Amino acid sequence: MKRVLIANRGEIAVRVIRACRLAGLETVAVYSDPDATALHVRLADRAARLGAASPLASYLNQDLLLEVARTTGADAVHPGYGFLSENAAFARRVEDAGLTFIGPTAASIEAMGDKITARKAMERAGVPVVPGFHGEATSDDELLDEARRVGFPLLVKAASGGGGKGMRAVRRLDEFSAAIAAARREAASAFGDATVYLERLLEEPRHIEFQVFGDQQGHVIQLAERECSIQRRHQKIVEESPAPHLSDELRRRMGEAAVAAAKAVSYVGAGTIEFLVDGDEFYFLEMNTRLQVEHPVTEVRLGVDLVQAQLAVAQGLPLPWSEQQICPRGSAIEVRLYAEDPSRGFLPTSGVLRRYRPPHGPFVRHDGGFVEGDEVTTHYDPMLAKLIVWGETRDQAVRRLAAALDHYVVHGVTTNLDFLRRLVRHPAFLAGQTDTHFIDTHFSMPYAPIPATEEAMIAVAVAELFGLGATKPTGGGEQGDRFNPWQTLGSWRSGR
Amino acid sequence: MKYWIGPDGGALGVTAKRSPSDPERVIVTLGERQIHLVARQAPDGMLLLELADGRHLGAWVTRDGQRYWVSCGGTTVVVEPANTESRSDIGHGGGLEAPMPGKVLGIHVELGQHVKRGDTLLVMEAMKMEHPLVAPFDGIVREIRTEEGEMVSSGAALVVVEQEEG
Repeated sequence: MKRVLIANRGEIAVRVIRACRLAGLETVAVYSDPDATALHVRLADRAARLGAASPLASYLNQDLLLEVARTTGADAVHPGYGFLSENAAFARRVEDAGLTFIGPTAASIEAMGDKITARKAMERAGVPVVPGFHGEATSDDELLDEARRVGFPLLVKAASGGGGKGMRAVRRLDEFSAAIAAARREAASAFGDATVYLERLLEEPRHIEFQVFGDQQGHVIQLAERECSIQRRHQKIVEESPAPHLSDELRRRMGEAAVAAAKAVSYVGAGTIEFLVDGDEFYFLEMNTRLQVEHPVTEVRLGVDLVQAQLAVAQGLPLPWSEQQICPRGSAIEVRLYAEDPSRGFLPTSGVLRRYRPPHGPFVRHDGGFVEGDEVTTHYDPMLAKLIVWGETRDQAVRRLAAALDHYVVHGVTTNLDFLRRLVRHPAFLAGQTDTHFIDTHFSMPYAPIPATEEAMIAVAVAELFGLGATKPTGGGEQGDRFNPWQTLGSWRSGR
Repeated sequence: MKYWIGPDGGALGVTAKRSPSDPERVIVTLGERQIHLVARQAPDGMLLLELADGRHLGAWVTRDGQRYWVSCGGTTVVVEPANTESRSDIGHGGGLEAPMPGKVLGIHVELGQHVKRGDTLLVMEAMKMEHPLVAPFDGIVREIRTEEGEMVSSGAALVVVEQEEG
């Protein structure tokens, strides 16, 4: 393995490119037209255009990606997360082209991709699953009988689903038929597969996942848990390790189940086993057969580099650590900065990042994919960056996170930054009371944006007096002067 | 005097002037109140404000069309011009801006055209719905800064209408 094509964009492409450089591997970035000058393109050794902005014309276009891999001489492909990372057909095509797919085998992706197959495999491996019915596709009448057996409330879920599509909560028997029909329609249009299954609805579950890692020699280990309960629209926004208030006994049982789950599909590479936890019981939810967005939480708490390990394992090397060598220490927390408007139901926003200053400080890590001046479009995932902090204790980590968020400056694009600032100071968060209804329980919606403060009004008055942000150049006008900092400073002061 | 949407949601008149005796001293008028402070701009653009009560604030202020983004004291707020003021701004050469990101479907006016208040200037498509942008007053189209089919971001200046007197 000498040259890795990174089939992704944004912060994860940046993360992988940096890891490749550290490992002495060359990198090939790919880009869509609006990303031609993006950070990941700047950092790579080579860069190749894919196509227009639409993901189908660019980052999801398998033919183009394989063609670019061929013409740039890449011998491996890292899919990142999202896009084609859990597409078994793509993994297979990469391998068939004689390249290394940096991830699990296509067979593992397939085994975990179909939720019904995955649940059956987990039952065989002795991993607890949420009580439910996941038999072969049957008539609605038969499903109704099964629903009576599972009990209410229950969830109707799409077999090929994800992200809440094709999912319906049913609280009473008489709501069941309508919910099944709606779930089938949504599943068919979103995934091309109308198969649904039934699961008991856990009322206040926590979402806790385990990082697992396997190598080609057949070793599989777990690298502790991440608590990811705080979500909005079925997307995580805060992740931390360790999970608050998780007993050592439950943690041990879950870790063993995570390893058994990964071994059941002969897993190679970085993966995540997601569990729902309800009281002292835990249930397998699904496996993510890729590097997770929140992988830095594990890296920071354990002092490991998961992307380095991915590159090593893909080259046939054994895992760089044994489970005994893994020593979690302190507390790590991540928050995700999204281009979205909390006061409009967290809908994605767009615009130009007129000012972008991530915070710095001891034990503060910023994983981002944008720089000041970049345009944020609605073509792609609205996540802009992740902020990860470490503390000797959870309390210290939370205070560090709050201080870091206070010094984060993002202007020009509406984000969830102020929402995050309020969230990390909420007494329930400080107390570690995290469950999947956290935001609904503790924040009234629609979320009210912070009104202008007196300090902000004073700052605006002074900015106007100083002529700050005035766009018309006052002096020179020659092209060569435009980027002279003294010239710029001069024009700012012209209002005096 | 410029009017902005203030902390209580209502219009607040805000001005600043230099103290005649000391150029680093600034007198800010917020509505009826006067606030004396020392204001400096750091080379990287940050505003440093020393208030008379001893508070020391570092503020990042970024102009974005007619509004300002301000980060100080651990909050980020958007300070918007109050409605009356923003309309007269448009009348005096400001741009009519895209209310949301979207695509310009059609431009219904030409340069130099006289328009009446309420006339459709252009139509945008966003979230699969059409949104007309209408003239806020009688005036003359002085600039068209977009074209049909263009994807525009929220706040982008699209059309400049100069208000006609009387």
